[in-house]
Amino acid sequence: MKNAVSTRIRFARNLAGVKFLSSMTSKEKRELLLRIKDEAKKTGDFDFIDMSALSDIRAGELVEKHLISPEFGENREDCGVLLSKDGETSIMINEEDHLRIQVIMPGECLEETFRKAKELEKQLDEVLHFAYSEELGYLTHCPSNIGTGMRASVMIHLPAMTETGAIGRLPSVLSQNGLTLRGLYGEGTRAGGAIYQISNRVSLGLSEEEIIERLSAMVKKIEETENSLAKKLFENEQTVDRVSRALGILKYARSISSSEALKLLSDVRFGAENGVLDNDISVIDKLSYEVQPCSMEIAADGKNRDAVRADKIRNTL
Amino acid sequence: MLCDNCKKNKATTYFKKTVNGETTETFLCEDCAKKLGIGAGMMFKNGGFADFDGFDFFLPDLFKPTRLGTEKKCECGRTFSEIAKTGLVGCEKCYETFKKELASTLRKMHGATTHKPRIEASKKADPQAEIKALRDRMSRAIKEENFEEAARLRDEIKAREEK
Repeated sequence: MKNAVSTRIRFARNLAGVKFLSSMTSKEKRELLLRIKDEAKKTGDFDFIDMSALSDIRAGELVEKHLISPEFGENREDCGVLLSKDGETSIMINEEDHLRIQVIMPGECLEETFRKAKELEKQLDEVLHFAYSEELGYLTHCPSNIGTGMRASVMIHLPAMTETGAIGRLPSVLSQNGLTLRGLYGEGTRAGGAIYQISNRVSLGLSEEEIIERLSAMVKKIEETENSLAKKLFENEQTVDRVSRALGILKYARSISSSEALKLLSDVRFGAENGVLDNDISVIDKLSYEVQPCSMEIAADGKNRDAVRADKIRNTL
Repeated sequence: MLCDNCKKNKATTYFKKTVNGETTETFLCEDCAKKLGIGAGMMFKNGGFADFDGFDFFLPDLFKPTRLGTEKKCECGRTFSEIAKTGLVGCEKCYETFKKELASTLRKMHGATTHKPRIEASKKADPQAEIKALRDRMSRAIKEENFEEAARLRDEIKAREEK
């Protein structure tokens, strides 16, 4: 399971008896935000961020860390987010639904992430009382999320499938199983550094457990395909040379852009996944988050971003 | 050429997608392309496939009123044509008010019209239902040749039956 970068579960939830967001005035949304914030704080130790008061860069950093969705980072009026101290849990308030409860963990750990997200969702349900019907399950703003209201995703690094073009066949295979392939940041985004998101598309008619099982089985199969393709690619000395050079550049560069860094980090990860390089994969993954534009802008604090990025990578590797 | 989605504005965006070997070509205006999440950023650059995820379908296809006539309104004030336009319902009661209209939407989106609750939720009502759900999972695991999981489920079923 070396290819999985992280696992994420999110639940879309709305309060029973409260209109959905597109029917609410700004004042009502503001009141709802405060109400959810106060109630949710009873369930755990969260830091609250008022999204309307946040700068673009800080919002961008949260998107890069996958703690909030890109849309939520952009339309921040009357929105807020609760973040856990361990950086694994986030509760987006007034996204598309009243709440988007999310847990993200490193590697492939669907069971544990699901268990953690479910636990929090249950606690929040006790204080907030979510809109639910026996027939349709959890009632959501957009019918595409109704039922479980759950989106389970595994972020996965598939360099060999990308290089050989095998990735092109994946969408139709996934679609037949009620699953879908997305870019790095969810719907309609690019796959950066050969990282993709595999998640369920269907939320009604299958139980949460069934969705998790399907996803888990599919991820396993995809990893097998990726690994057998990778093995073949590494029989070629050119591939070995490429990933080794990537490490060389990252170790010695004095200035590097975010897109070059992500591409080279992907190559180094590729080498490490296949035993050609001995780098620690979790270190590479952490770097891949940290070197992105907004996070780097904050770390650089006015200094040259590309130079600070190169320093950071050099010192870490 | 007019936009395939709103049929009002001039189409400026073209995209092609292939699902299960069936290719569809679509022309959209700027507004609809944006609304449907189709744009320059959506293609996977490296993989060579021009599929897009987001919406796999178009709102007018998804939200078809079952009959025409005077528009009924939900108590939140929303009509079905407004739902069709935005893809969003106004409140939880909309699902009851527009039950008939939304049934075909849900079928197209999910291939189902009823919710299947989590195992522990059904357990409260009926322990037999849980065992049945576990059995279903076990037969699926066997079908998928996931024998390790099947064995685990078999033991779990046994333990529950002995309770």
